[in-house]
Amino acid sequence: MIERLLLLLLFLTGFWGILEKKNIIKKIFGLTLINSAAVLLFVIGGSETGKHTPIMEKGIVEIVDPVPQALMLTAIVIGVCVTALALALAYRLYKASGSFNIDTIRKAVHDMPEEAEIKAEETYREAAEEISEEAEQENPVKKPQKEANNES
Amino acid sequence: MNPENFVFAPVVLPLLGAAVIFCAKAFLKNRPEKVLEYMGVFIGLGLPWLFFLQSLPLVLSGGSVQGVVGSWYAGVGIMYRFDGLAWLVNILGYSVAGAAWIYSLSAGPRGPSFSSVFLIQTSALAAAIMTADLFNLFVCLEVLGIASYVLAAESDKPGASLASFSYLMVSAAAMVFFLIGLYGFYRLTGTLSYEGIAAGLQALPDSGGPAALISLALVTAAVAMRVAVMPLYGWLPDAHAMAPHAVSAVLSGVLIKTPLFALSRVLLLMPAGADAGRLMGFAGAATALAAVIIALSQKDAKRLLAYHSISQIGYIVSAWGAAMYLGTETKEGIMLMAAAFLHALYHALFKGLLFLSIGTTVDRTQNRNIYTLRGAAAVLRNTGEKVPITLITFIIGALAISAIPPFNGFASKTVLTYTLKESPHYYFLYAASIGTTASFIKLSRIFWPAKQEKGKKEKNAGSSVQNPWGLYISQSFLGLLCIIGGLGAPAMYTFVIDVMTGSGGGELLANPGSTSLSPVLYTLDNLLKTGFIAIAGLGLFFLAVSRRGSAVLTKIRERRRNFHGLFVSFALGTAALAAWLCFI
Repeated sequence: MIERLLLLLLFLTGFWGILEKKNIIKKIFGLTLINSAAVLLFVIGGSETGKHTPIMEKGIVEIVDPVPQALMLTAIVIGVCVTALALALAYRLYKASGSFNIDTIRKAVHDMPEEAEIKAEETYREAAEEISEEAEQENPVKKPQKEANNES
Repeated sequence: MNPENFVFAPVVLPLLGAAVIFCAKAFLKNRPEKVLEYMGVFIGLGLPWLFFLQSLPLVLSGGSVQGVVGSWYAGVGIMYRFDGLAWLVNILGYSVAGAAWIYSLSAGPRGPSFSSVFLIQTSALAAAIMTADLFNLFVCLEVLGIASYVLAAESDKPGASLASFSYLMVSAAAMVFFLIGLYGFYRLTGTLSYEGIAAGLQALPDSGGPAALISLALVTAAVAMRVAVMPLYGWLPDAHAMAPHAVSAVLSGVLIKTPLFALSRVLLLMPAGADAGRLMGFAGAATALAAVIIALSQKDAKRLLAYHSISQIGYIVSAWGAAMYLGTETKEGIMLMAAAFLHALYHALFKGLLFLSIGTTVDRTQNRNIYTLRGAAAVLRNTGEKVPITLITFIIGALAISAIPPFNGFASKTVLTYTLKESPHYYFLYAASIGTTASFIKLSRIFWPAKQEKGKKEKNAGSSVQNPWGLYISQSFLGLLCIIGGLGAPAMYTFVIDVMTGSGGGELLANPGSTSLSPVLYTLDNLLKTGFIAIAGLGLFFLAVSRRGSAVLTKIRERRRNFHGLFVSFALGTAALAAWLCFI
């Protein structure tokens, strides 16, 4: 029973992260957490039927149910794909708006779609040009500072 | 040639095509790469048609191909089933996908990566409707989802990335709920195939009790999220409006319907499926009306279309839900199910057409705002469109969605409301039709001649496309299908019923006056109703553009929408469904 309660806690933590955290990277963490909770639920459920690894050889009895494990391998792979894609999108959003904060991003790209988008593209282009110029001058120190400003 | 040997063609051929395209991208350049890419698309989107033609006699005779993938034991392997429903949904998917891909040749997004992801998505569609295994449904929906997140983000705009991100987050979270529901079923019955689960639940005392009901609620709600029924619709407008036009057409036309019909396989077998379907039917009717009101308030042309997709899916879900409630063994159930599919098919055609023609228009005029864009017809003419194909196809699409005869929307909406006549849904759908007409009058205004500064506007607006034949081919193709579908609707409806039920269905419906649609379709009553809807729509339009009306609509448009609203509504919707199943 205690495992189930812990899993519930893990799930709720993840769901809370998706809902309440403003940072989109933390939201993605939340998604990974609820996914892991579901995966663990399957594995624990499957493990209750036996004790041993499901290797079909002589002398091995009381094996655990292998089906949930097989299913979860697939689910984990899918989870990894989704997480990777989500992170790629987060990176794109960061490039476009200079922030990981969902409200800032929404404001930057959403409220006035046309004007804001053009502006965001311009800002991005300017920033890119600036960076490349700086790189040409072999003086890349300013870049992290700029990002820090955007974060705040 | 036996169709049974080729039953995986609609799934495997697009994957093969995608693999060919990836190879082309990896090893070749320039012309050979292009040639191989087109060949891959032909393999993926063209060859499956041979299989559909070949398997038509089979599904018409009520046959189906079913078995276990890879000839495993039934308890271990993945069950599949290719029957009339799968055939129909495949036809829907492949026709719109083909037209959309041709459109993308001219309007973009182009390139091997787009084509291959597009093919993977088509393959997942075919797999989702064929599977009879709950975990496999999960995998298919996830593959479908991942492909569509990528496609929705294909546009360079940051708004597209945000829309795709929200879509991804809410839909991936919903799929975790699906997984938990699946766990519940597995614990109760020890199997994953639909039939095994249904048989296992029936053997249990009280059909598994609340655990089974909650599992069903979790699974159903997760799929309903993909379908975008009312409380769970929030992700759709942004994702569909921000995606490239060709992708929007497929997302709206095909992608939101396939999970619905795949779900019908589950619900028809489950003991509590009827009740779940009934609640979804109510939600669908409410969706049809509410979404159309929001659509009326939009100022972005494509977002308006996206809200209409939600509204039209509401029509489909309300008929579908009623069919789930009655079961497809009854005559009414089959008629409802066929009506739901007919509207799904016709909606895919006219909504695909609308997205493509509006897409062409907003690209050429470089303006998506309904309130400021005027004289689009002139801009289209100036940018090299000698025959106003885009304008004509837009008009066809708009008349079809507003249910004006003889276009296909009239036929399918009339059939749908006819089959729902005795239920409360009818009034919701009736009111929604008026709203649809009004909002399409509003949208058509972009083609009206501009009032002033005409010369100036034409000079700076408008950018011509290099190779516009792809636009014209795909738009004319869908436009033609809309007209043919409208004129041949009675035959089509009978055909859908035949395919769905096999020859047995024809006998079931052989009672006088129910199979032949023509007397039902063009009665004085229906035409009067259509006329009334058109006039009421015009009235509503004037109300909407009046000062008071537009103030209200602005309020609706500017309502607060945020990220966590999506999740809260999903959680509440799931809880409501579970409560409904447990206490009703």
